[in-house]
Amino acid sequence: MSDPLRTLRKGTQGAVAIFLVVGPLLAWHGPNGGSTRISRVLSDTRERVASVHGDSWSAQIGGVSLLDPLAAAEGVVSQKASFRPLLLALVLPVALTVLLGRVFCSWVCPAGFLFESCDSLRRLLAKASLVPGRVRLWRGHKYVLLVAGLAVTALAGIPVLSHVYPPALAAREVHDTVFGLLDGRYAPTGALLFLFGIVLFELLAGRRAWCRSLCPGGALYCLLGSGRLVRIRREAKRCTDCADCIVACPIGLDPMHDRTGVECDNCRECVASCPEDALSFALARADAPAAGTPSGQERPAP
Amino acid sequence: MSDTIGRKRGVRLLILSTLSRTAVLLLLCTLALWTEYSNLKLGYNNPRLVELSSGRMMRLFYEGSDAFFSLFGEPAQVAREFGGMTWSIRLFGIPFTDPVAALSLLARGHGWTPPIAAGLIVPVALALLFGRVFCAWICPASLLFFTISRMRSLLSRFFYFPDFSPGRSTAWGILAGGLLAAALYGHGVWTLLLPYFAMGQVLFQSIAFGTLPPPFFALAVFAAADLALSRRFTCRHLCPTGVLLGFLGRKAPVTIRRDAPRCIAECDSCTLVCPFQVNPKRDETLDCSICGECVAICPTGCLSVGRGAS
Amino acid sequence: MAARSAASGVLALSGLSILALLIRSEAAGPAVPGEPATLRPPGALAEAGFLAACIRCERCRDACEAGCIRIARPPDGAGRGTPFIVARERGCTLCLECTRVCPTGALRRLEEVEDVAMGVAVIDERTCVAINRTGVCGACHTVCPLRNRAITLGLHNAPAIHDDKCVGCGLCEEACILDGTKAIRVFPRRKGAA
Repeated sequence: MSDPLRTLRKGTQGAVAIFLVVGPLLAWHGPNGGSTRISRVLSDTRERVASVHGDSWSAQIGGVSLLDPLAAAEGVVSQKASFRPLLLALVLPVALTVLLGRVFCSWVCPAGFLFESCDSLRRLLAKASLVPGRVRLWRGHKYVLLVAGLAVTALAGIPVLSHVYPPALAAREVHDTVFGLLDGRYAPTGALLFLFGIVLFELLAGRRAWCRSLCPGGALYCLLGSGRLVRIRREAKRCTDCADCIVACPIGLDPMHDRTGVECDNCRECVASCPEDALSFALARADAPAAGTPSGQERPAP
Repeated sequence: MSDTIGRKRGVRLLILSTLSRTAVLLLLCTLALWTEYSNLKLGYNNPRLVELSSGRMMRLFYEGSDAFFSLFGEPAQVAREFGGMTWSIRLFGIPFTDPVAALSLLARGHGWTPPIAAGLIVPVALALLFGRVFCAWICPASLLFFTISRMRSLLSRFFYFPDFSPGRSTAWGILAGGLLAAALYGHGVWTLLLPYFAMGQVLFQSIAFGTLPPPFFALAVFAAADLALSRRFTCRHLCPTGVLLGFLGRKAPVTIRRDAPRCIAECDSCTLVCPFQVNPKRDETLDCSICGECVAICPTGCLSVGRGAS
Repeated sequence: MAARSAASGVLALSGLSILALLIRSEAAGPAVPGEPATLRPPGALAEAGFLAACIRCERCRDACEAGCIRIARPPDGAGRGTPFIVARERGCTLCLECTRVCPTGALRRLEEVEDVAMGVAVIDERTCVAINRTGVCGACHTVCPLRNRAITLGLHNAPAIHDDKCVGCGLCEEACILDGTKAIRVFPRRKGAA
């Protein structure tokens, strides 16, 4: 069960979650606009700790600016102009996605981390005979949502997807809450309700239901990572067709039949679950040829 | 034997009083800088903004002061313990008020706040105990007038200098007129009437702003009067503070003491040398500032500082 | 699949359009009720362009040296998630860090303080104590980063604004000694913005 890369992934997710809280704490200016001892300590710490600012939506790490491709797409579409620093900030995220696929969703996305944390809650619900939902929505909804969102953004001249995109919402809520509590200006908003709603959706509609079918950012990452070089590869000789990997896959893919397609986020849950070590990462431009249904189509879990 | 001891004692007094006034002058320069620092701290509290508003040099000065005051605690706090000029000053957090300033406040119909009242204690006590000791030991402007009087005596061999003495009433008149003008126009008139206040203003503004303010011309007028009318004309006949302190200290216990049996009847050097026209020979010590000129010149050493004869 | 896409698309378009209208109407009002308009951080594009370019990432607030940048949350107007400044609470110290971190150019990059054009300070001559001679002040002059250029002092420390030099940082409004409505207030303006 122990897979070092999967542990690393969990660690990365945890680090991002911690940074969502620590980042604003460090960025907080202190009372009286940075003139007090506490704020000097804060700014010194900020300079010492690391030059890491921002969150998963927009960040700066050691002088390198990074931007969620969805943020960039919205920004460009709504102002109908590009901006050189914006394009530069895209280079690394896009390159990583092209090479590794939709890894943002499994390694970085704070909402994904939230959903994963719900898995244990799901198990508790199952034990209490309150079976969580297992609705299978069409995966295509998210692409439609992406296109519709960009169209509305362009027409309205104001970004809309950032108001329904869970990682951006979650990061902003945490950020605003930390600042609001420290400044004494905290007021809950509708965004909190929306976040609560999609957690409920996760429990009622099924595991990663949002990520599979509705997330516009996920859709963009899928499209960018459709030709990824790092894929899950099954060693057919070792595979005993036990289907553990199919159960393990959080987004309902079928590694047992080499069908991971554009949707796979390389989270390695299947690798960790395989009792025969038949699954591993491999360098390949496409899934292994397999007969039957086209890749990416979900199969009902046994 | 005793005469040389007396002379040494007098010279020592002269040197000490000059050092003391120089220290006050330096203190005023420092305070001008610190006040400017306090203003920058209060206004900006940010080296970048100091540079933006006042230039690179000011930023260096600001950062240096910041580092210096940080040695003693919170910089703004420490700087606040010091400030002002001879007119009203804070040293180590203790306030000092010029008695003329206190009168001027009354003339304008303002009461005394506790720090103003408390600030009067030391100056008034000094005057009651030692007479016009302020004039020879503290007043920074008297350094200028002292220098001018030395110039007069050096040049008197070549030029004729008049000696015009209108008497004490002029200074009382200026005090009364000054209070009236202050009541009408504000305390600012004193920057033109009090030599040490004018000096403080000139130092402060030239250091902090790099400009020469109007009091510079008042100072020039005082200097011209000293040169043209009589020796120490400003201190003797114009300075309202001097006459007020002299009045307060007319019964001062500590002053110039004369050992009468040793005094020579024909000698008049002490009376002639006295910058304030005091007559130690006749034990008249009204207006004595304990400057030590007479002690230094007395040929028999019969003069010393101590309890007065009266 | 075509039918599913069409249904999904209609639903998404209508839902998101309603959301966009909601956000737009929210953004129409000023950040603080009663203010004429919203004071944005330095380098902000003209309001419509700014609302389009800002991706609501809050990086400007994190970078803000003075801590004057606030992020609009629904009771505030100005568009949720966008940055604004309330000068009377805390003015901008013109560090220009926000213009350097803005990833989308909603805040244009500025190198010189003189290029900032957030707004312009306006003095209410009826309430300014130095002008109506009810007191002695000069606080606005003391804190002005462009002292003796944007604000000069006249007789009795009466301040005067030189609006060709004033960049609208709002430090004077913060420093003004009046409670409630300040005698010197910064009104937003964006010089040369697209």
